[in-house]
Order: sequence, then structure tokens, then C-alpha cells
Amino acid sequence: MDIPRETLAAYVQAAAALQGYELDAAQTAAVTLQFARIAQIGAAFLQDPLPPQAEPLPVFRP
Amino acid sequence: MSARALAIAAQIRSGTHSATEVLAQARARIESADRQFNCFLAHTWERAQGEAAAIDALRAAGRPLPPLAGVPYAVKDLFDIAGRTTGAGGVVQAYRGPAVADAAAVACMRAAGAVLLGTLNMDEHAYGFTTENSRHGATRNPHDPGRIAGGSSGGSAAAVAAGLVPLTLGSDTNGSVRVPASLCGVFGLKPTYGRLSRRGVFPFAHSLDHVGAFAGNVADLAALYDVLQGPDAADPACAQRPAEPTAGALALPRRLRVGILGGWFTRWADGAARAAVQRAAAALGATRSVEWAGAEAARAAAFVVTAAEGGALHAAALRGQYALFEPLSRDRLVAGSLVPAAWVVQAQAQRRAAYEQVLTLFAQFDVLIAPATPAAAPAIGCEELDINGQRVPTRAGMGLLTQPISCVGLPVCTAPVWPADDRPAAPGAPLLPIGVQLIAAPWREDLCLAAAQELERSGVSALRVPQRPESRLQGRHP
Repeated sequence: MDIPRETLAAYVQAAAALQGYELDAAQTAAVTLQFARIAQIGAAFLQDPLPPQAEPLPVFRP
Repeated sequence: MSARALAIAAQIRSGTHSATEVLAQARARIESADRQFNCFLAHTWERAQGEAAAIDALRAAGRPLPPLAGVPYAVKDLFDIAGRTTGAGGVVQAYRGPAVADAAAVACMRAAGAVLLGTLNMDEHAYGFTTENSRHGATRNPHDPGRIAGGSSGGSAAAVAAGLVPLTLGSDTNGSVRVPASLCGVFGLKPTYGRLSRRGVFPFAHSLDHVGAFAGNVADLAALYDVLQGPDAADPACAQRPAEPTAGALALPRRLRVGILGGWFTRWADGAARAAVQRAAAALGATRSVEWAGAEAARAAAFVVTAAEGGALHAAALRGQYALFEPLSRDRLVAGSLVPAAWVVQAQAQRRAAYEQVLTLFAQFDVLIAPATPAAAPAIGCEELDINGQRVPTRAGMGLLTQPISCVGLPVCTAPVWPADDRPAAPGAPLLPIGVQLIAAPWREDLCLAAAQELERSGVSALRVPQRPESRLQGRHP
């Protein structure tokens, strides 16, 4: 999953506004950098589809 | 006076020392030495005097003493202490005011006779692996004060490593017990998810948060863990299963089947970390390597879940009080609160898949070994680690090898390993430990501790309290 930089920036700006954050340009840039890192690391499983039966763990009980 | 918890309790039981004397010595030690390490955020001397006096009164009355009678300890700044405000390493939570009751773990320690000396430094809100706290200052590694102690329970690990207290409590969401235990050279236990109650512990990411413990030797760690066990209906994640004491069984001979985790756990370990695993493996008779193919996905799932749960927890406060949050983590928290729901749900499904996959390894092995950190402690302020030619941010990278394990809730004991023949990495460099993770199947903390004890018995693992390092502090961080 290679999300273009502009897509990440646009998503962060829109999602932050939706959630009521009032971030200045520097804060938005810093948050975008962190979000890009989450997306990059998440790619390790987000491109690895599990079967529909794979149930999420609302409270994880080993 | 001994630095070992059980020896202190025995001395008090026998009358060699009173609990009040032990407290006075511990207080003098902390007031003298902690200026160099910055482990403690606050002291609880008044409460400690009351707890020590209560133990001395019990003994004077000829009553039986509890297992940790008079043993000094301290807790990470996210455990509630009745009458004190829980800071979680910052000031954002101050509006909550003083806690009305002790956290469950602190109440267990009081019932066991232990004496609480104060609260310990941490990464704010437990979001970090370095304990470089912008408000309270960094906790310094007792083996080289220019280096980090690891985090987020850095004060807890460093306080034991420096010989300030024999026991401490911490928490572990992605490695916050195991990383500082590794870098400071102490024993740390992250039990199975749900084993210990988190009641009264300030949360970070609910579906990953564990209570954990630190000690200077395995017998002390097992005794500490045993007094913390037991069901607690007030914590929704706490398993409703009875305590399964471990300390008594440690003396029994046990032949462990030990495997070495390769793949991800080798790729992200530098030469010193791989050497630590080799030393531990040799001592435990482990020769076979196994790969857990799902480790990378588990680490990624833990990263996404942590970001989302932590971000959601603090989103409201971030909107109004952004400036009060730790500069090193507030942007990560905001970013986490923006993670799409589909990613989180998929991450939680991935956790189950990874869990089922790793369980198959325990058909062949009782214990799996892996490094606890990719490298030994870096310098305070180090932004990037170089692991086998790949550069990774220090604050995230220190958890590369612990996150997959806590993602699936397995119990782990971290045991300190020192370089072979006490040879530092380079001439003139300090001698630094690296911890190994001793990982077992769910609810088998006894096996983790048995493996750690075998490392201790063989001489591979031991606490080494450093000499007072005033001379090495010249010119270092203020």
C-alpha cells in the first residue's frame, strides 16, 4: 500500500477538521508525518486480507 | 543490608533490622543517588513511615509477618496512590485530583507488607520507549548516565538497576517493561494479558495494557508477581482465574524445551543483541531456531491499535490542551486518533490470526527466546538507530522486538545478559547489558521464570549495581 503524499495530507487535514482539531500548518505537517508512519507500518497487514471468518478481538483474551 | 527483597524481609522477620531502619537506609540512598539518575518523580515518605511502623508493630506483637514485610518499593507514575494525583508522567491529568483509593496492585503490595517510597519517571502517558520526559527530564541509565534507561517504565527499571529499591511496578503495552529492563540490566516480567488487575492504573491502549514488575533477581520477581495475582472483576480484561503461585516451584528441577525465535527477531537485532541470545541459548541448551511468520504483521497490528486507542483516549484533551501534552508524543496521539476504523478492525482480526499461529510453536517448545531490544542503550537524544544497516526512529524502533509478543498477550520474562568476558562493544565503551525475552504459552509465567532462573544459575544473567558514577557524569546532560 503506497499512499501518495498528497492523499495522506488531504486525509489528515479533512479528518482533523472532522474531529474538531484546530491545528496550525506546522502541527498539521507533524501530524501528517506521524500518520504516514502509521500507514507505512500498517501496510504490513493491511494488504494481507484475512478470511471473512477472522473475527476481531473486542477484548483480547488469550 | 541486603539489596534483595526476600533477604530484607527475612532480616526484618528475624529482627536483624526493623522495617523503620530499612526505610531510613533506603531513603538516604535515594536522596543521595537519585540526583544522578532521575528515577523518582515524587516521594511518599509519610506513608512509608506509617507502613514501616505497622510492620514493626506486628513483629513486636509476635504476629506473623506478610511475605514482603518491610521491603521498599516504588511505582510508575500511572498507579493510583490514595490521596495523591496520578500524573501519568505529565500534567494533563491533574484535573482528576487525588485518587480516592490505591490501585489494585498497590493495595496488593500493602497487604503483602511492602513499603511504598514514591512514584517513578516514565514517558508521558506511557507513549514512548525512552523515558525522555520533556517536563520531568530524562531518566538516565545507571550503567552510563549519558544513555537512555528505556521506556516507558524507565524510572522503574533504572531504580532497581541503581540499587535504589529492590522492587518496582510498571506497565507494558508494547514493551514498556521489557525495553527498560533490557537496557538497564534488570529482570522484568510482563505476565499474560489479563493476568494482573489494571484497576487504578492510568490506561494507554486498553486492549494491550498489562501491569508488570521489575526486580534484581528471579526469586524476588516471582515473589512480587505472586502477591499481585488474583481475579478482579473491576478490571474487565482481568481473567477470572485463581492465583497460580510460581515462587515455590522455582526450586524444582525442570527440563525446558527452548527454541530460538529467528526471522523478524534476528533481522531487527544488531550484533550485540544476537550475541546476547546466543549466550542465553547456550546456557539453556537451545539449538533449534524457529520462525513465527506472523511476527511483522503482529507488530504492525499492535502499532495501529495502540495509535488508535491511545489517540481516541486523549482526543478530547488534545483538542483543548494540546500545548500541555508531551511534545515528543502529542503529534503521534493526534495522528492515532485519525486512523480509519477499518484499519483498527483489521488489526484486531490480525491479532487473532497471529495468536493462533504462534500457539502452534508451543507444541514443540516450552519457552522461546528473542532479544528484548534491537540494541543496547543509545545516547539520550539519539533520534535514529542503525540496525544492520537500516535506520529506524529510536522512539518507535526500540519496541520492534517486544511489540509482536504483547500483541498476542503472551507472558514474557526479560533477563539481563552481559557481554561475554565482559568485553565492551568498543575499547573504552561502557559495558552495557541487553535483555533476552523468555516467552511462554498463555498463563505459563512459571516457565518464563524458570528459564530466567536457569540463566541466573548459569551466571549468564545477574543484576550488576554500578559503582557511583559521579566521575562519568562530568560534562553530561544537566
